[in-house]
Amino acid sequence: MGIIDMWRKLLALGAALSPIPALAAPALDVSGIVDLKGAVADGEQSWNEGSFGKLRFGGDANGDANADVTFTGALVLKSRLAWDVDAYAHIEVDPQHDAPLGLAEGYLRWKPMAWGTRFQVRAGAFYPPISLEHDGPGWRTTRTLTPSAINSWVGEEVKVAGVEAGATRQTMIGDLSAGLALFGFNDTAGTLLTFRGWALHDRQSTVGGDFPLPEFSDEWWEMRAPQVRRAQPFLEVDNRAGYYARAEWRPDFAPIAVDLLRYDNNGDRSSDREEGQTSWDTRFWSLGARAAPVEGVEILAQAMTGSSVWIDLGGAGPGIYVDDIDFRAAYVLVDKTLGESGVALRLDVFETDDNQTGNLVATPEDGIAFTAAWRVPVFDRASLFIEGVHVESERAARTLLGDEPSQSQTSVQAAFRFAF
Amino acid sequence: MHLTHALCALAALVFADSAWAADVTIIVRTAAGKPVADAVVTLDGRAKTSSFKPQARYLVEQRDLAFLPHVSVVPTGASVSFPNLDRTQHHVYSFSAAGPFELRLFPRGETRSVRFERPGSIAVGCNIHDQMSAFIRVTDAPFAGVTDHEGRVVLADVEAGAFSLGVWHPQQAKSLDGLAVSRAVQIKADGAQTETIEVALRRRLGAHGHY
Repeated sequence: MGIIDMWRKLLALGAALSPIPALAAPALDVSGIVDLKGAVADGEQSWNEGSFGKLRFGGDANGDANADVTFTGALVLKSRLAWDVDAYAHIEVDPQHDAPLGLAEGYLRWKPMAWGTRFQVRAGAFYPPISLEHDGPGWRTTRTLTPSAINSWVGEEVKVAGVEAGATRQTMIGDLSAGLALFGFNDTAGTLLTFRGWALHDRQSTVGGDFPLPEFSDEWWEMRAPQVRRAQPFLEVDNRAGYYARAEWRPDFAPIAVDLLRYDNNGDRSSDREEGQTSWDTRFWSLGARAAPVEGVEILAQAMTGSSVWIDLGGAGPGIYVDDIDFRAAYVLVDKTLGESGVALRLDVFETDDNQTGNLVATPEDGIAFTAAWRVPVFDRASLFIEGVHVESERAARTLLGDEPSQSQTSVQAAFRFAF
Repeated sequence: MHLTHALCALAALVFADSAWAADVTIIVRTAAGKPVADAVVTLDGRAKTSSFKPQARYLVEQRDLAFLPHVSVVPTGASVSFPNLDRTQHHVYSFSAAGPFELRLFPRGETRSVRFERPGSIAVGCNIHDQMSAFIRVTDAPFAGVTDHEGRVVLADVEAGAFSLGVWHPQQAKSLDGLAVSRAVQIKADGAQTETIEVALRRRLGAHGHY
């Protein structure tokens, strides 16, 4: 209740500061979602344990299959401050974070309409509009339990704090949307992708939260100073604003939607002003498409290509080390509803290239993942998910932990999802 | 004499009504034979009578974050009420040229009304809940209705004569401003009549749920 009380106070402040006449008493709408999960997985230990396992669940330290039970949740608070202004907060519940309750998204949103156009301005902390899979409450995936490699990375390392403005208009050729955001607090994007590589999991970053990096030797990490062994994704390091720009087209003549996004965090690649975390210059293009070719069938596809660079000018470390990677990933997901239930199949491919020869991190990797998920409502507001993910990948840096570069693993997960 | 004349006129009117009015069943389907629900069917022509009155009560409810019904047809000049039966507030609007409107936030239990003075197609949305969508077809036709799940609608008491049978659907391949298809039809005086008409549909995607 402490969080809700704080939220009420914040809303009252927001209403008082709003230039638009507020409603008499902003009502607080509380909803949420709880996932109870059990999983069996083989192969490497999960990246959550400091290894290179690509999934949320993995084998044990001996490489044997391992069973695990956990839960995650989201508390979603919404309130309307004026007819076209609302406030949104998503508190993520994840016992694997040091702070099990953390703010995943929180923003004020203004949605005016004028000249036949719908406008939207958001200010606060939010995910850029990249994932096509996360259309459930609390930024949850609705077709599978595990997001694609692309959207797993968005969930862990691509959250920004800033201002986003966009407009949507119906035109002769369909619905067109365009938007632009200026942001900070995403200077460390690329840390996990460089040191750990791509992964497929449903963990989300929170304000102040962090994720483990691979457990390389102490000597190795000393050479990477000032970077510490944990990646803190939501952080401002260089005091420079980044931007993203997005356009979406939903044509009138076919059931498809296409979107394109350019992201550049404008990171100062030689900055290490924040204790333990460094500023990465990370840029990417993201292309997405949705289609519904026949009734009950939906196809989602996304592709991403980008780069991430960090230079240590020697201020804190013993020498100049450069991390310079190119990254690419894509997936295609086909979803079919079968009455009340539904099945989804997804194919992921991902890779990173290391532009520095002889780099100690040895970042190149490539991999492929197959996901199959089935969902069925069990009673009102509750559903059961069963999902299998198989991933095969090759990453030279595994040898630094004494493992073979090529690894494969499979996870079978069942989740009971309850919404309130 | 006056009384006799009046009785004769009344008898003629009753006779004409009973002999010349028919219930017409229209079945709308795709070229593949699949029934088309939510199709607006109109019979337009120089009718002396009409079963379609602007004075009637027309409702588009907001219930469980959806508009009900999804598709309505109303006569030109009709007033449509938008009662909110949800726990949350709604901000109902339309940008359609035939009748743009905006109903700023109103809570559960309250209703707002809009009068549609021009014939045409009204696409209705909620600025808060992007997934909510409804369509209102405003028509001058004397007989109109919306098809059920079997693609069927019965237009009652249609007088005999020549009409234009028109179909409009929110997923029609043609522009939503006009009809999906229309053809001439002769309504006969000898009782019930069934007409079948095909439409070409094209699905469109809704907005993404989160952004």
